[in-house]
Amino acid sequence: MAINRSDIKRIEKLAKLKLSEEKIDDFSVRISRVFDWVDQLKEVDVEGVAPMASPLMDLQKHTTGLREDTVTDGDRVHDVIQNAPSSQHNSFVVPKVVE
Amino acid sequence: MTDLTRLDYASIRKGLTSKAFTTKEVVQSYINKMDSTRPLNCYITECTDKALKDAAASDDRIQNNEARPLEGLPLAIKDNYCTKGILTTNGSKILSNFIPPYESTITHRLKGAGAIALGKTNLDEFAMGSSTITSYYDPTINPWKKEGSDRDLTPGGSSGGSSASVAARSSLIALGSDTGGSIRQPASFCGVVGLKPTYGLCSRFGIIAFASSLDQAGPITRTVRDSAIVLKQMAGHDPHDFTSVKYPVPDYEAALTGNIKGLKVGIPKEYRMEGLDFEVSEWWEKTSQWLSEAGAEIIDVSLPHTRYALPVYYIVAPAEASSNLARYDGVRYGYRAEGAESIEEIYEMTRTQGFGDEVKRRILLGTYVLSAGKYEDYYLRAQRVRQKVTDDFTEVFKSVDVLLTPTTPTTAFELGENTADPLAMYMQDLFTVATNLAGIPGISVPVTTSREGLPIGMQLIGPRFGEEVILRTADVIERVAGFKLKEEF
Amino acid sequence: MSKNYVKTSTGTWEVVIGLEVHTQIKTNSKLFSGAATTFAGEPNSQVSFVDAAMPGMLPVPNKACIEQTVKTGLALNALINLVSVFDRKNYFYPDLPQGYQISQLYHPIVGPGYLEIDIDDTVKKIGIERIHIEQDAGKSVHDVMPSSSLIDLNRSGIGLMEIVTQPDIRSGEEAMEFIRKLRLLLWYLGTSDANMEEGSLRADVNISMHRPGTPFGTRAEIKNVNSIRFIGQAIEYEINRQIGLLEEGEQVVQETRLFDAAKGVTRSMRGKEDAQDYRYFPDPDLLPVILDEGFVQGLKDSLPELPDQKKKRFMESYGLSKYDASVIISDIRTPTYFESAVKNAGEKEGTAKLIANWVTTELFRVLKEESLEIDQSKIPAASLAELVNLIQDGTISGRTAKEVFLDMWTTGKPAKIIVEEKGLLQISNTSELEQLAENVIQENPDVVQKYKAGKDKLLGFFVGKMMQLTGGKANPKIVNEILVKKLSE
Repeated sequence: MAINRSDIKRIEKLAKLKLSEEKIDDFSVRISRVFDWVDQLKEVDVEGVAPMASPLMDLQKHTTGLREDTVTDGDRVHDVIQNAPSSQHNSFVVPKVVE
Repeated sequence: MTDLTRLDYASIRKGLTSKAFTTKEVVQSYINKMDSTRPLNCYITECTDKALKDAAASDDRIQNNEARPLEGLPLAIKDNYCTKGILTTNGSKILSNFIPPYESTITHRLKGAGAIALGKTNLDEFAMGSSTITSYYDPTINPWKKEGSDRDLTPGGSSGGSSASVAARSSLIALGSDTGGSIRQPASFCGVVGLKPTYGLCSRFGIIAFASSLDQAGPITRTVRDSAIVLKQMAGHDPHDFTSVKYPVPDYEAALTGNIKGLKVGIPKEYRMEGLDFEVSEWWEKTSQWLSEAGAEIIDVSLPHTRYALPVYYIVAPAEASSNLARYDGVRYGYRAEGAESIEEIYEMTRTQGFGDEVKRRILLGTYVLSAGKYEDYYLRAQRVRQKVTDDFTEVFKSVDVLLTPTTPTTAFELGENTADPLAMYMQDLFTVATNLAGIPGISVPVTTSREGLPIGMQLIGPRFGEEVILRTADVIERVAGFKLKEEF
Repeated sequence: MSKNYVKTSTGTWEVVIGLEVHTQIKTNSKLFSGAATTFAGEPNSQVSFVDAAMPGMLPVPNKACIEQTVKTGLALNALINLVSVFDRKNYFYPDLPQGYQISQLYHPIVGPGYLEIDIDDTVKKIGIERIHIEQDAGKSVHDVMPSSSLIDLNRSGIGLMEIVTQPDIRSGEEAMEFIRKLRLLLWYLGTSDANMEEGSLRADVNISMHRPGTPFGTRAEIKNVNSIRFIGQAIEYEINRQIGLLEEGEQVVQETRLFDAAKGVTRSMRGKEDAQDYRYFPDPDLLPVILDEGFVQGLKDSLPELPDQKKKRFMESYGLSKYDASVIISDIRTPTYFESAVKNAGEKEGTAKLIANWVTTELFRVLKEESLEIDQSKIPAASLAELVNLIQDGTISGRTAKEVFLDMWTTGKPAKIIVEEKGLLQISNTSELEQLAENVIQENPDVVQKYKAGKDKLLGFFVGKMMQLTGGKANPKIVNEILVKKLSE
């Protein structure tokens, strides 16, 4: 299946990536190639098969399980913002967001 | 005095407790080796000062007879494990300044058991790749070279820095992560042992996610025994990971009995496919003979859907990655593009400049397969086929105990090879990826060197939580193969 | 013809409304992390590494969020789905740290149910389509710095329930009544504070117009309306706007609109939101939430008495009018106060009704004047019971009681003490009153004459005189009896 420039531009926007014009062409060729190959999945009869989102779908009862409702975290502003590219007033700073 | 970097951990541990040498001496030997192998570019960050301090503390413990299970183990850590106070880049510009204020569960456990961190190893950016060339920090070079050639080869990937460092003796044991083969393929290329455990056995907490339903932590070691020793400390339930299984961790070392009489070994016929190197195929045959001679029963089996594993993987992994990597937006940590004047510009410029091409390609691919109108046809269909791939394994493990396959179709390739066509690179995962989809364990063990002088690895695949049986079988192969790393390493 | 129809010169219109109510689940910690949920707090002080979406962090669901939502579902007579799945809703926003919101699109935890509302003395069922659980976002603060916004993640990751109705609502009044009733139910259940001022309850209003008997029209969605009054205003504005468009032959655009409370209008967000494509898919960090029947039954058994049940019981056991019962149950604390007073007063004919009357009139009036909640009342339930007892046993008159009540409120003294100190005891001594009546009759022979001639109404004249002489303390009932008797002699 061919993925054209406008497809790439649409998904670029969703993914917040901006490629240069020549890279778009390169990507569209490469991704189209991957999709041609991936299309072989259409041969498989998957009638009645549930999608497998995790290898543990049948082991649910033996995994971590739900957490008890106690406050065990927080109160670590410094740790939370110490890696921020920009911070003020114990908050992350970004250019003004227009609502 | 013998070169301490030539001992496996089982021997180091013995020497430390008998006081034949000190942790400080062991760590110093590794630091020397890190210096002399620096051109291989195994490490992104070295923590040698801290390592020497830890070594002194370790010696105190040994003096006080308080040695822990991994006391004095010189450990390298793939740079996608978050380490408190130590730069953690994931091989990416976008995290090139990120210092986590927390520690991953696995590194926390290993350090708590006495392991000493030497540094953080190189990897493909966000663990996406099979050659460690997509790293923002330049490629790692395989210590192996073709006979009579000085051309640089890839160590494989994405855990290329880890496997190269174990082979080059700049670490004794290294941590890797495996989403589609990222521990086993580089282990095979570097002539070392690489184990991808059952999904849910080792905590993912604090390991930077690539594809959450496939990622699994595992060790890269020089011997099967060392894998067994370190896995025991890595494994076990973690309440911080919802996908962690409450499984009682066995003594994996005790499973290395050398006895595989009556073991049923399946040879999946679908792995004899086009593109499989002739020599690799030969040694696959030979390895099965070894197992047969050791008393195992060799059985031809079929995994009819395994050929679809790779295309399934290249839908599921990018889909999960496209979402997992949305948090790298230049707001709370990591790289932020300069000169961005609006929040939209911060997103676009940061992500465009901060991610390399392969990562961008996979994000776009993943975004596409989840987008309106494609979700049903691609993502959901792939997850359905994934179930069929898994069902094949469930079925086959009703009649066999382990599966034997090559780890990779070929031996290590040159740096820069297989980059023009993304599919050529993806083919590297051909034999390894199905186990990630099914969440079952696989181990790569070196069996020989090819006529060109490059290591060939074989893979053993077990059923869920079948780590003991694949370790036992790998141990038998290792004993028969008598594979050795090059003297000059 | 429905009174909800809107009649214009072109004919009749009907409005169709569906609500999506977002309300904070009452828990100590967040949906997927152990950080606190309390209101306010210093910026980013209630944030864990999970809430800030730091690399490698993983969500673990809070059991209480599941329990609270199931309880809410049960109280809404809804189907509880024993298997539900958390999905990721992918989009970029500065206060959305993960780059996705964890929600439940395909398999919500609660399915169809209904809520009954009282509207114009009839009961109307509003269908509930579903309830799902999702994460709240952080907060962007725009007014602290001139050209920057500050991001505070204290709210990030707090658990929300989204309660979605069927398009069953046919007027602004019904919509407002639905929210009032729902809020009351949540208060009774203790599953949400549903506090609109603190933003813990807000609603999206879907609204369309059509001619009765024809298919529904195109709807507009008014986002994030955060008070009951605004919901009414927004609907009223939107009804007029849409009718205006349709009658001009124009189309209603399916779009998202905002309610501008200052101007009382809704306006389009067109252009501000791109065509969104949220790429929902199951969160691979989380497995489906699987509940067993026993768990659900346990929650069902633990449900408290709900508003409608309480109202019915108050009417049946205490003989309250529908109106009084409705008023008393319409907040969470009044029923407790009321029942405590009734219990203290003892079971007597009419006691409960009298207490209900005092609570809903005198007590509510003073509470409102001083902006107090009923559990802050300066007159405890037991004291009000005592006052009512004094009225019932004839110790004081109803008129005197009002005076005593105010004294109790200001001084905090019990009714009996005030009555004694102020000498307000009602005169019920028959012989004393008989003597007094004798005097009054003798002093006014002309009035007696007229009375006896048939002017019965003049009895009031004698009662008034006696009250005057006793300073209002004479027991009016006894006075009446004595006078009637004496005047007929």
